[in-house]
Amino acid sequence: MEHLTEQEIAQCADAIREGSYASLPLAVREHVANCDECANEIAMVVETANEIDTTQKKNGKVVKLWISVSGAIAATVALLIIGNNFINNPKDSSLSNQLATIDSISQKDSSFTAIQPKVQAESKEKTAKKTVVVRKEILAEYKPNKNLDKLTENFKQAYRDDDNIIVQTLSEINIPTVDSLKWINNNSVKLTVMILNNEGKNVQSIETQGNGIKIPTLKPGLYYWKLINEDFDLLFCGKITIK
Amino acid sequence: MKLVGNQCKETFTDEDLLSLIRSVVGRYIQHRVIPFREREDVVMDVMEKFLKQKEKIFGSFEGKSKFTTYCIAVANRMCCEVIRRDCKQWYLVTEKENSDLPNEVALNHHDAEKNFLFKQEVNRLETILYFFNNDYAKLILFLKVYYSMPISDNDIKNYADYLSEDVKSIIADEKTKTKGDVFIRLAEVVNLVEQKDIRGDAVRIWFTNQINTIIRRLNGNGIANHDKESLSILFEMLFSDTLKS
Repeated sequence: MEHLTEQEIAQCADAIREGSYASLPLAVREHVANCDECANEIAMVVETANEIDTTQKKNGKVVKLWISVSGAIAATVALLIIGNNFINNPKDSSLSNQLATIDSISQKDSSFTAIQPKVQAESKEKTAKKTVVVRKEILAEYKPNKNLDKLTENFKQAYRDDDNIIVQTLSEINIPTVDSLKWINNNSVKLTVMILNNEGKNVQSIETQGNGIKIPTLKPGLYYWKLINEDFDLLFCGKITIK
Repeated sequence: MKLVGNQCKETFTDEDLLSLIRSVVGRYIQHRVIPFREREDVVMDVMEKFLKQKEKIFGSFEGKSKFTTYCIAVANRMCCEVIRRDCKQWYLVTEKENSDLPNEVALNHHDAEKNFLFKQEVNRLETILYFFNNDYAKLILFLKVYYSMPISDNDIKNYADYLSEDVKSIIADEKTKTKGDVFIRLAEVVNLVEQKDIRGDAVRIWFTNQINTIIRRLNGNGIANHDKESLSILFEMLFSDTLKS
């Protein structure tokens, strides 16, 4: 199957963003309806284009806000200085006096710098706590699933060969050491490979009539895989650790 | 970011290209496909690839889309190539090295607002639904019936057209209590609108296939792990007026 070109992907992405997807050529839409890879690619381009637009709008707003706020502050400060000099000391409006006034204001504000180390310490403490939480989350992704572990154990000792399927992959494998799941399927029986995460949730299902599949790209963690035939008989259950 | 939504290729500078590539790579970092520590390397790899073929890429632009979107599509494909080539290497890094990563990684992961992530997933779902082409209207209507969500006249009209009133009365049948009943009613709707003669089971199989396709595609970004339950939440968010407003 020939995938869509970058130009067609961009065309689809723009059509979705503009709400005119139905106006695209039928051949393109039909391909996307049946091709997960191109569908994912379009979704990714749409997300990125939306993000760029959002960032741009935000930046635009911030710049406008900054200009208006800084303008207002500058005008207020100028008016205060001029007004103060004019009322209190109308004759002495030299630049050095004005600068001295501003310096004295900034000295009063220097107390702010004393608070900074405390804030930094609190921020470091928060960051350390967050890191611990992240590590715990990572460990949770490798936590074995008791039921699936038991199932994997069972298939270590025996396997079903109703369809003359002989699994060649070991029951426990590590990625990147192994990158594919292999079996012998001389009769080209239709098989489904289910990849489950360590919570037992189905992450991906792949249908094949071949003698194996390439393990799809998955985020690091512990996974299990099941080989199922057309009659939904479980032929094998194995374990995949992605480091 | 200096990018403009629809820049033409004559005004598209290398600086624009770099910030565009950063956005593309950033999405994969957000999805945890690319480790944060590899960000600059991947950006430079993609940039190098792009610059080597810049003339060819620019020359192939047919004007069927915005130029920026076209560049995103090209950079996205190049980024996928880099991921395929280098991902094994990235995950060979030992836990010791991982523990030395800057805290920014942890912050990046946690600072993402829940709402923002939900919205992203809802947007992705909205995009994916478009891919159902002619079945789009049918799918939206059936999803709303199945998940007992409010159905508008337009939802029915988009699928049933001049048979809207008949479909409305079938859907509103108060005898519908179980999910099995729902599929029997939907089969009646299909038989009426599409001039077919099918049973509830056939609609159930069709519907389950569509749901599985949606879940597969939602999870295709490498990070999401949706199932039927989380999908129902996303549908509620997508169809609820509060989110849209």
